[in-house]
Formats: sequence, C-alpha cells, structure tokens
Amino acid sequence: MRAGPVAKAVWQHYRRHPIQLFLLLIGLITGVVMVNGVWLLNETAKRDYQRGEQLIGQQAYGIISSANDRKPVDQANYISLRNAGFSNLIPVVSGTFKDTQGRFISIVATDPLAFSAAESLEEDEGTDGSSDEGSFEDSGQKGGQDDNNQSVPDITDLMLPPYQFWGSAQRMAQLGLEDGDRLYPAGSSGALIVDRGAGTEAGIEVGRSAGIEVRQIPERGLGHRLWTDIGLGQQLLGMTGKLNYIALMENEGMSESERESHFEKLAAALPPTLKLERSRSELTLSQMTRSLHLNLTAMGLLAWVVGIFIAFNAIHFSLQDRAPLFNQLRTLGIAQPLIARLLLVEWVVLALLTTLIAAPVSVWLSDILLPLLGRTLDNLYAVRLSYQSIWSGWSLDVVVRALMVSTAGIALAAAGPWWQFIKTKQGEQTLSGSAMEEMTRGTAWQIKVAQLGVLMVLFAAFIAWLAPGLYTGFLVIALLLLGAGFIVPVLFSKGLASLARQGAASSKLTSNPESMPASKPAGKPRYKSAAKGRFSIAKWPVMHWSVTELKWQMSRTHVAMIALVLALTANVGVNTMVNSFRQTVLDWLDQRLVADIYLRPQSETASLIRWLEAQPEVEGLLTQRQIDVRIQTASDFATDYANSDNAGAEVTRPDVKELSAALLSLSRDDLAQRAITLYQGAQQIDWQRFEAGEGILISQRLHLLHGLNLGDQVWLSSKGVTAHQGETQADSALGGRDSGIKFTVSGVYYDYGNPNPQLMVDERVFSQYWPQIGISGIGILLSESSHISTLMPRIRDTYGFTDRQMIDQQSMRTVAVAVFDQTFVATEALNLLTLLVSALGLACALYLLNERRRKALGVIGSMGVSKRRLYLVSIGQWASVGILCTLLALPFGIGLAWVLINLLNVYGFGWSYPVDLPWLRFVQLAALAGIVTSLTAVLALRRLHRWSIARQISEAE
Amino acid sequence: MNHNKHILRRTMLAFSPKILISLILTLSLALIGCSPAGDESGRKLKSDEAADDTGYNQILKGDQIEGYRQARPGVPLSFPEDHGEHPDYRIEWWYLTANLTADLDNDLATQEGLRTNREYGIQFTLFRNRMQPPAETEKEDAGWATPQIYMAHAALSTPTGHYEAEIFARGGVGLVEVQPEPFVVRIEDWLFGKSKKADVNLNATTPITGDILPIQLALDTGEFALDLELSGNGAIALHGDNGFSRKHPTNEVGSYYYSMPHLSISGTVQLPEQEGGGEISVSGLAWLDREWSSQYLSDEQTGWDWMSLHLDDGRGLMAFRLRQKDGNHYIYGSLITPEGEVTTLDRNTLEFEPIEYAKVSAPDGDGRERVRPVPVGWQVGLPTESLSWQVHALHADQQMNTLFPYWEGAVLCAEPAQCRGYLELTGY
Repeated sequence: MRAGPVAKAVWQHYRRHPIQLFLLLIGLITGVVMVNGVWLLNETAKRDYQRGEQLIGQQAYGIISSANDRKPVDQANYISLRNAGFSNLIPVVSGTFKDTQGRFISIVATDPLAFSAAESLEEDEGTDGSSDEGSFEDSGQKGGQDDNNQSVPDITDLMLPPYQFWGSAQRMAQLGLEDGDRLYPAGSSGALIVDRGAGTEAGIEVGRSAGIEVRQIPERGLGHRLWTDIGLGQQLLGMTGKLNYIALMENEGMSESERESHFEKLAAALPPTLKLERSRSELTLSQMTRSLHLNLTAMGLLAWVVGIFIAFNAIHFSLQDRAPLFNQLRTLGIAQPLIARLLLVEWVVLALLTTLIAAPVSVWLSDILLPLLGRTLDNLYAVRLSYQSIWSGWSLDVVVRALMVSTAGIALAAAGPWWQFIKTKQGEQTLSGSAMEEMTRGTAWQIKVAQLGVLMVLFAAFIAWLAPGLYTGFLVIALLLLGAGFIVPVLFSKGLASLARQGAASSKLTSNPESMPASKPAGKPRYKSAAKGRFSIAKWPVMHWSVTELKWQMSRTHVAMIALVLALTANVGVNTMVNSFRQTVLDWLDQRLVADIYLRPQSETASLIRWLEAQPEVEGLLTQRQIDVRIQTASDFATDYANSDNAGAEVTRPDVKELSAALLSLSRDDLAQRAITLYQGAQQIDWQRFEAGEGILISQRLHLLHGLNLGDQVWLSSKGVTAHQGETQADSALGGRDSGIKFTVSGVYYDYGNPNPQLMVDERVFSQYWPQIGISGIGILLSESSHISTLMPRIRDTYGFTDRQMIDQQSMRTVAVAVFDQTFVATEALNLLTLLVSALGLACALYLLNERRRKALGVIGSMGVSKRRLYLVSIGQWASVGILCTLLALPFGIGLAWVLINLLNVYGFGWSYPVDLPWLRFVQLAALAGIVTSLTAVLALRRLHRWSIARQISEAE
Repeated sequence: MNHNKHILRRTMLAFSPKILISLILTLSLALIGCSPAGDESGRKLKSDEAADDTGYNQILKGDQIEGYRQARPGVPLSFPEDHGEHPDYRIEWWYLTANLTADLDNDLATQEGLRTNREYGIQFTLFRNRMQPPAETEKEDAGWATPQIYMAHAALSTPTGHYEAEIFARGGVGLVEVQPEPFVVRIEDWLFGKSKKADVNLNATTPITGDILPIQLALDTGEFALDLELSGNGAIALHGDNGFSRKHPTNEVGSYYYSMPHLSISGTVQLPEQEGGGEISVSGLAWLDREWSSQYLSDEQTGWDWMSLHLDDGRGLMAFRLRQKDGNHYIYGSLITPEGEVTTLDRNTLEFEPIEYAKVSAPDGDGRERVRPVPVGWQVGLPTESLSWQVHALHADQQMNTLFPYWEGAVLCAEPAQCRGYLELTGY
C-alpha cells in the first residue's frame, strides 16, 4: 500500500505550515458561521411568526380595540364582556416607560389570572430546570419565606404590590440586569407605582425609591418586552382604568369552527365603540419583515463569499507550496490520480472539521444576534420576537446546513486550484511555481476579471432600471458588490503599474508628489523630511522598489483584495444608507414637529382647549382627530381592463382594493400644512381645494406599496361610525361605492417610521364627516419656547396630565432619535463582522505572501536599507492600499446605498429618502482600512524580521 | 373554559406555590374550622416536607397568618351582614351542594329501573383568598392592586358522568361581586344571589330578617348550564360555639362556620353534549356552607373526608374525619334539626367509617395522572339513636379535576333509607 506514505508526505505540509491550515479553516468557518447563523436567526424568527401574534406565550387570535380611533379601551368594557361570559380574554396594557438611566423599557401588562400564561412554562422548567440552578443563590436576599420555592418567580409577587417585572434572560442581559435586580422608573409616574403597603414596613413609595424587582423567567413570547401586572402597567403608562387592547385567546384543543363561532359571537356582542379584528397572521408578519430578513441573508452570504475568498487563497498557496513535492512524487512514479484523490480527501476532512466547529458557533452567533434583531423588529414593525434560546431549539438541521455550506464553500474555493492542478498533469510542472500563480499574476487575467466586473456592474444597472423590486434589488446588490470587488483591485494595480513605469521613465522624480503615495505613512511626515537629507540617494530607489514590489504583492493578494473591497463596498453602502435615513428622518422631524408641547388628552377636551387658549404663553393650538377607515379604490388593473375591453363589460363593480388605514385631521393652519413634507404634489397642491374637502393627502407607503397615485380617487368608510354627509356634498361625495366618501389624492407625504398606511384631510372636513370623533392630540404653539418649562407643570397640575400624555418638542425628538439609533443595531453588527472577516482574510494573504518575500527583503536589507526603514515602507505600502481601496470602493458603495434605499427600502418599508453622504464616516472607514491593512502587514513582517538577512536569503526558496 | 382550566392548573402549579397552597387549604379549612382541641404535637412545620406534599396538604407557616384578622369566640354572628364577605380574613367560601332528582316527565328519566337513573348532583363554590395581610395604607378602592383573589368551582354529577369548571378572578375591578343584602355572590357570569323574582318584594321598608331566600343559581360553563332556585327552609345552623369553631385546645383560634342545611332547590339543568345536551327539570335538597378564617391545617393531617346528609326524618347530618398521619383520625359532626338546632357529635356519638374504595384517576400535584383508591362508600351511624346508614357515591368518578383537584360528589343511602347528601374527599 503506497497511499499511506504518500498521504503522509502530502499532508505533512500542514505540519510545517500550520498557519495555512489555520487560515483555510478560519476562512471557511467564519463564512459558514455567518451564513448559517443568519439562516438560523431568520428561521427562529419565522418560526415565531408561525405562531402568530402571541401574548405571554399564548396564541391570540383576535384583538379588541377602539373601533374608530387609536384611543385606549375602557377597562369597563373588558369587565362587562367577561361578566357576560366571554372568557379567553386578556386585558392588555402595553407601552414604554423611561427609567432613571434614560432607557426606554417596553412592557406588556396583563392580568395573570385572566388566562394562564404558562402552559409552556412548565415544560420549559422541566427542561431548563438544571440550568436555572444559578438563581437559587439569589433566594437568600428576600428572606422571610425561606421555602425552596423562592427561586421560581411567584405569580402573586408579579400580581401584587410592590410588583415585579418578569423578562427573558436575553432581554435582561440587554438591560444589564441580573435576576432580582431592580428597575427604577423615572418621572412623576414613579411615585404612583405602589399605593398600598405590602406588609409591615414597606412604605408607600416603595416603587419609587426601591425600584421594581425584575425576575428572570423562561422566554414565552415576551421578546423585547418585560411582563408585569396590569395594575402596575396602568400606573406606569398613565393608563388607569384603560387598556390598550383586549386579546382573544385560543383555547387548547379548540377546533377551527369553535374558534370561528366564538369569534362571531364576541364580535356581535361588542359595543359599537369597539372592534374585533383578527390578529396579525403568520403571513402578515412574515410579509412585513421580509425585506429585513432578506437583508440579513444577503449579509450572511456576503460574509460567506468573503470567507470563500480567504479559503481560496489558502488552498492556492498550499498547492503552490506543495508543487515541488507533487513533482517529486510524480517522478517517483506516484500516479497523479492518487495525489488528486488525497487532495480531495484533504478537503472533505476540512469540510467536516469546518462543520464540526461552525455548527455550534453559528448557533452561538444567532443566539447573540436574536435580541438585536428583536429590537429592530420591535422598532420597525412593532413585531415582537420571542427571545427563546436558540440553543434549546437547534437540531440536526443546523449541522446538515453547516455541512452543505462548508462543502459548497470548499468546493468553490478549491475548484480553481484543483482544476489547475489537474491541468498541470499533462504539461510538466515547472519548479518556479504553478501555472495558477502565473495566471493570477498575469495582467491578462486581471483585465479579464475587471472586464467581468464592469459587465456585472452594467448588468446590475440594467436590472435596476428594468425591473426594480425587492428580489431584483438583492441581485443588483450582489452584482454591484462582486463587480466592485473585481474592478477595484485591478484599477489599483493598474495605477501602481503606471506609477512604476513613470518612475522608471523619469529618474527625476523628486518634485513629483504623485509618486509618493506609497511612501506616505500617515503619521510620519517628520521622519520623511529628516530622511530626505540623509538618504537622498537611497530614498528614491527604495520608493521605486516599494511601488514595484507592492505591485508584485498585489498581484499575489489579488483574491484577498477582492474580499477586502467587497467588505469595504458593503460597509460604505450600509453606512451611507443608515446615515441617509437618519439624516432624512432628523430633517423631517424638524419640519414635522412644529408645536412646542404635544398633549394626548384621554377625555373631553373642550374645557382643556378653552383653558389653554386663555394662557398668556399660548400663541396657537393645533388639534388632531383620528379615525380608522377602510380605503376602497378601483385598482389599476380593473380600470385598464374595463377601458380596453369594455364591450358590455360591467364597469359598475370593478375589482376594488381594500385596506384599512388611519385617517388624520390636518389643522387648517399654515404652519401645520407646511409641516407636512410632500413627496409628490408639492408644486401643484391646491390647499383651497384640500380645505374644501376635495383633496386628501396620502402617506408615502400608500403610494409606494399600495399603488395609489396623485389624482386617484379613494372612497373612505369607517366601521361603526356613519359618516355625516354635508347636504351640499352628499351626492358627489357618496360616489355610489359602499356609501364611502370620495376624495381625490392631491398629495403624497413622507411618513417615516410608520409601518401602517395613513391619510390626512382638512380638520373641518374631518369634523364635518365624523363630528363624533374627539380630539386625540393637541399641539401647543408658544410665543417663546422658553415657556415650555413654565406651562408644562401648570398643565400637569391643572389637568393631571402625566409624563406619558405630555411631551415637549425636544424630548419627542430625542425619543425618536434614540429609537432610530437602536433600530439598525443588528444590521450594523453584521456589517462590522463582515469587514472583520475580510480584514482577517487580507492579513492571512499577506502573511502567506511574506513567507515569499523573505529573499527579496533580504536582498534589500543586504543593500543597506535598515529594517526600520523597510518596516516603514511596508506600513506605507499597505496603509495606502487600505486607504486607496476605500476611496476606490466609495463610488461602488454609494451606488450600493442608492440601490439599498431606492430598490430595497422603498419596497420593504414604503419610505424613500435621498442619499446623504456621510463624509466623516468615509474618512473614518478609510483610516480604519489603512490601519487594518498596515497592521496586518506589520504582523506579517514581525516574524520575518526576527530572522537575519543571511537566513532570509538562504532559507527562502 | 374547559381546556382553560387544564392549562391553568398546570400553570399555577408551576408558577405559583403561594396561590396553590392557600387556595388548596381553603378547601381543607371547611373541616379544620370545626376541628376540636387536640393534636398539637405535630404542628411544627418543616417547609421542605410541606413542599413535597401534594397540593392540599401543603401548609402555610404561622408568620404568614400574622397580620390577618383572626376569628375569636364570643362574637355573635349577625345576619344578613355575615352572608356577605369578611375581607380582612385570609380565606372564605360560599359552598353550595345539592342532590337533584330529574322530574318524571323528563324524557331522559323515564327509564324504569334504578333510582340512580334520575339522580343528579350539583356543586357551586366561591372561594375568596386574601393574598396579603390588611394594611393601614390600603385603599378602599384598590382596583387591580386588591389582594383579594377569587376562585369558583361549578360541578354537575349526572347518573353516569361528572363535569366541572372553574374561574379565577381578581377582586377590585368588578369581576366579582359579593354583598349581603340583597344577597349576591357573582364571579363573572356565574351568579348565586337573591332571585330576581324576589326583587319585587324587596323595598326599603322591609325589615332585614336575615332571610336571603329565594336565591338563584345561574351559570353556564359552556359545557353545562344551571338555572336553579333555592327556597324553603332557610334555617341557619351555627356550628361549634355559636358559629365559632375552635381549632386549638388552649389558644382561642378557629373559624366562623355556619350552614343552611335544609334548602329546597328546583329548576333546570342544561346537560352536556355528551349526555345528549337536553334540558331537564330537576328538584331536590341543597346544603349551603359558609366559613371564614385565617387559620390553616397542621401537617399532622393528611386530608379529610366530609359528608353532609339530608336524613329521612328531616334532620341534617354533617360528619367529617380528619386523617392523622398516626392513624388516630379525628371524627367530628353536627346533627341539625329542621329548626337549625345543632347537636355536636364526636367519635363516641358518631360512626363515620369507609367501607368501599374505588380506584379514581386524578392528576397529581405535578400534573401527572395517577390512579389511587378513594373511599366512595361509608358507614355512617348515630349509636345513641341506634341509627346507621350505608352511604355510597352516585358513582365513583366524581373527581374535581380543577387546578387543585379533590373528590366531591353526590352520595345516596342504601335502601331502604332514602337519605341523600354530598361527600368531599381530599388528600388521596
């Protein structure tokens, strides 16, 4: 058996070059972990959607809320429904409060006795029992009851003053809380938390001074929220006697028909002020969040591609290093197929090893990312993901996926080198290096790659122009990224080549600053000027050499460069997107928030308005009413159909698109009208016709996602509230369609951050049709904004407004920005990871390359150039590579941002916004890239420089 | 509702030892209240031991009783006020059981044969449980912050089946309503209160007599529905020392306990779908128990057996047995005349012995099903009067699979005696 010794010879390579093996694995593993982790993350989220809307781990299949407006539901309604025999209802108060650290804490508050929350809790405790062991240590703190039950949260502690919050481990970690720690609600509402003593010494202000204990429970659909009792929730959120909604829960083992009949019965029993709707289904949830998940998938795939480039590099070098060995083996009569098989075995083993390591690490990664994703989902779509531990839910699936992805990865990475290896069988292999190296080094190959890149970019532009959409958007992004990866390094090499030529052609380079980029280490100008005098003869040749040598290096790190450029482009793109969005939202907020103080009255407002108008500081009031309406519109398709094929076609009942939306009243006030930023119709909008009730403004979402356009006609109707028809308008407005009121779209406005469709009509038009709808919001305009601090306490004292119902402009802006900044945490985390992976790839490539530079460096060193100088040259070389690559990647990244904004976000969120270039971020990124590349160069050189020059020359082959 | 409770039970077991303990013990207190002096030896608690016990035998420690109002002897009960609730005491219940006979004109009951073909039983109980001791800062109108938690059980025993339902609700927000005059005990849509027919006669000039009759029981569990009216002999029987049931030999602790043992009941029962779903007319005898206290069982006691009988001669007999770990069971009872006069019985004057066991499947404290023998047949005797009866369950499967499971069902005296009653068994 000759395979044994041969295998030993082939594989011993890695014993001499463990670093190659390490890098190969790192490339593969990081790629697989990213793609698999993101997949797992998305799967977990989608599994969560499958369970539909959940409340404390239970399925809610219906939601009772106010019929016409977004006002809270009276608790009395809940009580009378229950007393009428409707069980399976849960009263829910949910919202966000601010703690003393200024954090916004989302809570959901229910009556735990209304419906058991815990069917699954028991199971969880069964499985997690041992892992909960740690919490036993905390049990001593409480004293008093020394039962061994103490470590398990007791529902009566949740229900009764001084109350508790219960949260998942993940959310508590996010908040930096341990089981048993306390949260301290900020503001005046804090004092209200506990209004009865809980035993002997506990005082009234327990909640304020001692905070509220937070207990950790197994995750049950709480996700980003903490659970507490409705009593505390109402106090914290200023909702005494009010509910946000009533959830209709599903009974265990309830049949579909039972469910339906129960639903119908309940719907029929509701007073007209309430409506029962089906909760958001799996379909709705996954549709809403689709673009975000695609986004994450794309990032994962990007990291995988980067990982493949790294692996490719490592495999390439490993084959090249072993070429002499393979030649020797062949001359010894070992058949090429045997070596080929051994290499295959090598890669299969590597794929298995990758799987083994990547599978658990990807679970770990997704476990970390899940809360970040949950935060994003909560902020963007008000979708709550349960923060279940992915560890407990992971299956063989993960391993199989990891195996597939790593096999595919190594196959892609090894395909080229492998093909090259097979090909060299016929032609005798030279000792000077593989044909592969020749090929990748050759200008022709680079040109070809660059041409391919150009083609890809052009194709991307073509698709973007021809078929804009969510999925094509991702194709465009992929093409753009790879195109940039292919083009930029070649551009760079070409630049260096021309520079080198220039240097060779003219020996008097002294005054030519363009020849100096490679010698410009950012922080060393003094050294340079000092060096000028002393080494004036040696200097320029070294520079010249460094440019040429860098060109040589670049040709060998081309693949790693592609990976780096990919990551840089993605980084520029995502940074630009997030920054543009942020800037736009800030500008929009500044324009939108015209009032100095905003009030959310919960009851009759007539006296409040009279009082406000009488205050000396108040210059004006903007009021807002709101009603939920159903929009009907003839769909474009139906209209076209009716027009083109109208011979006897029934035009009277065209297909109608129906959707529900919030209709707001817009104050008849110049200031309020100007506060609406129009996306379309800004020029031609006729405010007089709008005020006459003919025009309606629609949010951008309705335009982009639901296809409503300027000039379209919409019919609005509202359930439970019959619109009051003005005598003059009755005929024209009714329009004959389900007694809806007809409006013409006269403007499209930006409505950032709102995942739901919205419309606006003039306030008097609103009151004319829906006189029974009260004021839901008041904006107070002050003569001087400094009066905020004097007026707000007066309103609070006079009308008992809590902090939740009253906010000044600046705080509102702060809240909005804080929420915004939390939103893209998951995206940015992934983005950074990708950049790190690619930097790692470049470091690997350079490291391997330096093994090959020893001789050259030795020769240079022997010519009297100091090590220190060589160091600096290297740093300069690679810092400039990093910086210049970033600059070259900029246009592609900006293009990417354009695609992200105009192709993806438009279809994902229904918001569009202009590209806004964050130059400072670009400079930071360029600096970061320069630092990373020069750092990798230094690391690679360090080992080398421990050797003597003689050794470098003699040992290098 | 029906599935709900299943989840609830498991939930509460997993989640909430405190509720579990206190509510379970509520059941036990029905008997403990009348527990006489004695058996103090084993009252010292080992909490770990208690936790190992199944639900109803878990015992609260003494310090958790502190702060609550305590029952004391010598405080005369006063009606109708005491028909209402006593919120400062830890626990309280309104406990109605009734033996019903389906009217002969019912299709379902026309079959010739055993008497049991027409025998039905119903139970309705509202338990009140105070979760925190009263505090001075407590507001009258505490809303959700109320410490009062209520649990209601409704059960129907048919000649062959048994059905039950339960509701949990918090006080303070209008889900539960209890008032003495006019008498109302309501939890959500389950109503036990002064019949509407009586409202006509009720006005401000009517002197308060303490007579709460007629009372209507109207509830719909989704599975079965009851619409019954209590009337007739509303005599009140005060157990123990004029309604104070001492439970400690030296300390004056115990519970307030009275019964209305001679009530007539009639109305309709909507049968579950498994039994054809029809509505039947029924009539019979009912027994209302009322008790409130802040005291708990000792861990010496492993459970109790309680029985109420409507004797053929018109008297009522209440008997119970507290099972001691050492086998020295404590037997106690009340013999009640139609006028409500009570003769206290003890182990010398009352014979109360199990004679028949049946295997009953019931969920264990951990929610797992377990089959155990339960005494469904009893020998009941009054030696001084040379009277004795063999009493057997209508059928063995009258297990209450509620969050805190126990056995409670209709019983019949063996022929020729016609007496009927209710049996409660806990701790098996």
